[in-house]
Amino acid sequence: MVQRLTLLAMTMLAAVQVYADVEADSKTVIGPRNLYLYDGANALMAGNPEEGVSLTLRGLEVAHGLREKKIAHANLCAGFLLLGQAETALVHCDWVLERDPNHWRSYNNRALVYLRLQRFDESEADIRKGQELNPRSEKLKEVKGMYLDEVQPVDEEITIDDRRNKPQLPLEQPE
Amino acid sequence: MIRQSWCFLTLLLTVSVASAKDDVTVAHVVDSISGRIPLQTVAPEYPHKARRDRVEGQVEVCFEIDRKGRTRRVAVRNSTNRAFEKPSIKAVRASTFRPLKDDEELPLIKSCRRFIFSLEPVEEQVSLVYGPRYAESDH
Repeated sequence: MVQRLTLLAMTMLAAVQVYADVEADSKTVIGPRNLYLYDGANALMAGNPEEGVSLTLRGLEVAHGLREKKIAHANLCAGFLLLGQAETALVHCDWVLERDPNHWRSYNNRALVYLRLQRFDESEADIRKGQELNPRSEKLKEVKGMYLDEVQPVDEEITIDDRRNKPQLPLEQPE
Repeated sequence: MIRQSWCFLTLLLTVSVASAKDDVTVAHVVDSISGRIPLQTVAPEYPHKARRDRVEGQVEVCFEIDRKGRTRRVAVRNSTNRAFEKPSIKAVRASTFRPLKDDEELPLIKSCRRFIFSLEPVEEQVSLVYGPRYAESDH
């Protein structure tokens, strides 16, 4: 369970991290104006969702413009899921996607929320939408792996064949 | 006739193979002319990304075995997917064979070991509840 939650946290925080980096790179625009948002993102990334959510909520109160609000809601989605409050997280992810249907990171996060809520069809749909927007995202591949583990679990099997006369191996295939 | 004998003498062993994880099924297939006797057979780890993406594959690794039973000059001979090559090489390097006695001659022929990585659907009905699946974190 701990390992699973660690991965979940890492996957969720990937979305947070980008916002923090963006803000760090453009402090003259957002940083000084909304330090709560910036510090909240950093707290979430540091593995402190209680403080992260608290700061981000304060940042949302003073947020200027759609961009800051989107950052706040996206990070709240991640933060509330880390706190185990999936229903609340869903509200925040929905808020972002209603205003920005091309926000692949929120599809990633909402897919995880749906997974937690065992709403597997919706989780799969969000993974698909996210991958349409960003086909090479490793984060989305991780979430898809988690989804598959829930709906189509598999066991690993490794055969070690030491026979001198082995059956012919298929030709090398591209990855 | 000889071929039939090989088939008959083929053994399917599921023991004495070292695996990093407890939930991995490992089978070891040998026959009467496999050559040197394995002492410690290390199973490769299923690559995380391959498992995640539901990719299966095979790798054939050839190597020499010195008098002390250690593997030498390990190289991939053939593979269906490069993702499986590194763990296969690592497993062969960590494996050992029974050392030769003083009066035994060192065979000149190389040994080859094939690793087959497969994923089998879980047969039993599982409850769809969060549980540990991955050991690695996202990169």
